Amino acid sequence: MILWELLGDHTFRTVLLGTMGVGAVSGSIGCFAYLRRQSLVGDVVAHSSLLGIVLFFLISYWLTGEGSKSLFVLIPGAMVAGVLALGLSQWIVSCTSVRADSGLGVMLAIFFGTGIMLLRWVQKANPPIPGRRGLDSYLFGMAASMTWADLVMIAIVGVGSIAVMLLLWKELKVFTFDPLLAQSLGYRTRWLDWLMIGIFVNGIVIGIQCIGVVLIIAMLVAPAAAARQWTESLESMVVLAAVIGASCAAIGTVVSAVVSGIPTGPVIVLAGATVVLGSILFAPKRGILFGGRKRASAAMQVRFRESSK
Amino acid sequence: MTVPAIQVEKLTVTYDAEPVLWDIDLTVPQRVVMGLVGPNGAGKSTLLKSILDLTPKLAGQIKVLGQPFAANRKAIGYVPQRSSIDWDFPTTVLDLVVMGTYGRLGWFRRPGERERADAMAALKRLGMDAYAERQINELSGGQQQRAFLARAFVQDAPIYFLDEPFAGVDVPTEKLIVQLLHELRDEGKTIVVVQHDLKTVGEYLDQVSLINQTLVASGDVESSFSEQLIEETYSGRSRICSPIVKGDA
Amino acid sequence: MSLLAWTYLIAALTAVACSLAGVMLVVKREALVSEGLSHAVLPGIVLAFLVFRDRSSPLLILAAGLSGLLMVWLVQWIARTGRVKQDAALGIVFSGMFSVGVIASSLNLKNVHFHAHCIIDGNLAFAALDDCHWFGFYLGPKAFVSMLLCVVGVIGFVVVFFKELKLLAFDETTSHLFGFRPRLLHTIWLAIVSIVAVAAFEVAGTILVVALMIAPAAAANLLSDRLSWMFVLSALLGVVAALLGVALSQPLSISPAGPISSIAGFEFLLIVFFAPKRGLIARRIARRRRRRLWIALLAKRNRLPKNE
Repeated sequence: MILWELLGDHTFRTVLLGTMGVGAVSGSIGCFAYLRRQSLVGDVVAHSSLLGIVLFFLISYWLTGEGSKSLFVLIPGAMVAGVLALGLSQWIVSCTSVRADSGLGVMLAIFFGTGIMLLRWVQKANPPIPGRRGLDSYLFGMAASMTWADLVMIAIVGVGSIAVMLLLWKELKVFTFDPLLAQSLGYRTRWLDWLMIGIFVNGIVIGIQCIGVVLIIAMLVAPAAAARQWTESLESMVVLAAVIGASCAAIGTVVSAVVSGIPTGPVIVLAGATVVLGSILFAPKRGILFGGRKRASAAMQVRFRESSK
Repeated sequence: MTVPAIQVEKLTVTYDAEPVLWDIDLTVPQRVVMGLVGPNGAGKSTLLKSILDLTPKLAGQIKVLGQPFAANRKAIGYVPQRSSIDWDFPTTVLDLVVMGTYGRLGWFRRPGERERADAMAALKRLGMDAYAERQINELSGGQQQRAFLARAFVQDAPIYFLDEPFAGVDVPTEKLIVQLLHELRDEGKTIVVVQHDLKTVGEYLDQVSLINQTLVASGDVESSFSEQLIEETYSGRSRICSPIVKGDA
Repeated sequence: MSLLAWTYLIAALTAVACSLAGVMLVVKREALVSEGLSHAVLPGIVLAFLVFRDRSSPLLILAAGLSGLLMVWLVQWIARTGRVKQDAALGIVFSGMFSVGVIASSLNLKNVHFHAHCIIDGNLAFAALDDCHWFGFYLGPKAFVSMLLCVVGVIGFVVVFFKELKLLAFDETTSHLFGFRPRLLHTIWLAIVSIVAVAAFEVAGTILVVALMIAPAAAANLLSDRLSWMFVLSALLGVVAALLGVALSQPLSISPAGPISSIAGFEFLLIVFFAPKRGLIARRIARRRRRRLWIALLAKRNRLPKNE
């Protein structure tokens, strides 16, 4: 009943549409990140995007006299910072003895640290910067503040990324599976790599508003990890991950609308984590509890005992 | 007859319920250089890991010098595969060799002058004393392998395991390593070498075990390293079916 | 002592504890575990608070430490089942646990002082306000006492188990053969790291934990040939970042956590460029010199036949 009432509400419909869209897009893009073992890279990119968000907010303030929190301004900022952080860490790792994990961690310190520093300064600055209110909601997300304009931006970025992904499906698939093979097939792997990074960063920044930079990683990886348990092909994995992502987003949005004071982002993430855990345990083929391999192993033990008699 | 250095009895190891090693009985006598030989993915390194008690076994047991592994674990010296080492680790060559004395020292006690002197002596024996203060990444591949051999010397264990010691090593170092292994054997040590290069088996090893999921053959190089057995080991068909069929019958 | 002086001191102690703890994470290539731990301690703190209703109870730290270990264990368990890749497992588990913490604290926001912004960068300057007395003696601010204990604990552990830790990080198999129980030691070490993470988290939020655990240690790794030096340099670099960070935060009147992490990161960048042996510039010079040598040699060889 409550659900019907909620669905009648225009604001709620907007928010629900937005979060579900983000869930679906991040979820499907996340499959590639998951398969390329770039989950934590995603976390660092997400955190790093805060610097871009705050900087672009400040730039819009210097240009127009009022800081803009429109996603048309902040998402490009987040993209720039995310790509920069990733590029810088890859460059350092490729030309020094620094390891990938340390390199990423340091980018977190630089980009997120500086981002937080600027964010706090913006909040405290005297005289106050117009429009600064609520800028810190990009840390944990504020789905309820979503407007139609935001939805349009999310749709542009999301549909664009998915379209590119579908157009270059074959190439991206081969590249994810085996970069050397892609090279030998004559693909421009360097371009593919950058394209992948672009899509990847899009899948992250799209969720900064409803889930926030701190937790968006889960939206990227959890649906993929869960979907992997149920399917064996990349195609069905991507579709399923999109469905799981959208469902988790819907659950989170509804729960936080019904129970007052509960933030949307963390509920969505918690739903995602629960689905992953459930999938690990219960998935028919790979699941631990009913997995086929486990039974094979039991049968084998019996045979083994018999054969060694 | 003396107790065997290593005795593997009815060892079966599975990975994710798929058998990797099946019902292996293997004896490594003392004072030999034994090679564990087989194609990639045949379970050589799994066998090594299960002898060193690093991986759970489905069945079987391991004896080291007649005792269970836990009682005699310090009897084994281990030289890891070169590619598995973090060469950027902040440690000097001398430092690395001193690590060989840690087992002797036990918990809490620190290496002192004596341990460092031992380490220097071992480095000298391998012609590496000039590099003692270098960071390990500043060495060539062959020198790195020698540094680890120096560590094995210092450890002074009765049994040594070397995982792919000749991978990525220059020819002079390879000859030197073989010479050292033979010296060690003559001093009464037992050496087990994991290897997948077949060409040098006859020249380097006393005994050989051919492994591909099961133990195809084990014994002196002359008898066990026949073309037919090698063919059987490297032909790649799954060899586990036969015992199961036998068991079912 | 003035409040500002205490702030400097607490920041420096936090830096020492974190940057020492980070050394082992960096050399074992699991630096991002600190990112996980810094988030995963939150549900422990919040839930323990909801149960005991006492901010200063040491049980809070214990509970948070346990929830950090729970995360490590969960990730290891998931990775061992082989169903989910390890990096994804880490990402999912810590963000899931962090979400539990955020939700729990928002359910009861009136009584808990964990507002969203404290979680990320708690105000270090306020940490100096809460005093600690012991049998009537004034010991200094509570954060000072807890960080001092952490520093003493970590240094003590590193000094006593230096040899075992080194072998654990460098060659786990040999450590296992020598009977040094590498798995157990690793778990104990992670427990210590997670307690340091809790204490630092209470002082200044998640960001400081991650930044101070990774950046100074990674920079020290570029400067040192020995593990012992790496520990010392890491602590030094951490302290420098902490002091500069607090100094920078004063004119901006913001929490020092952000500036400290930012400076720790830029310190690392500086060292990446200018480190004497492994820095970018040193490597480039060395490579150029070597190449010139080869070219000279080649030129010589090519000239010889002509002269003959």
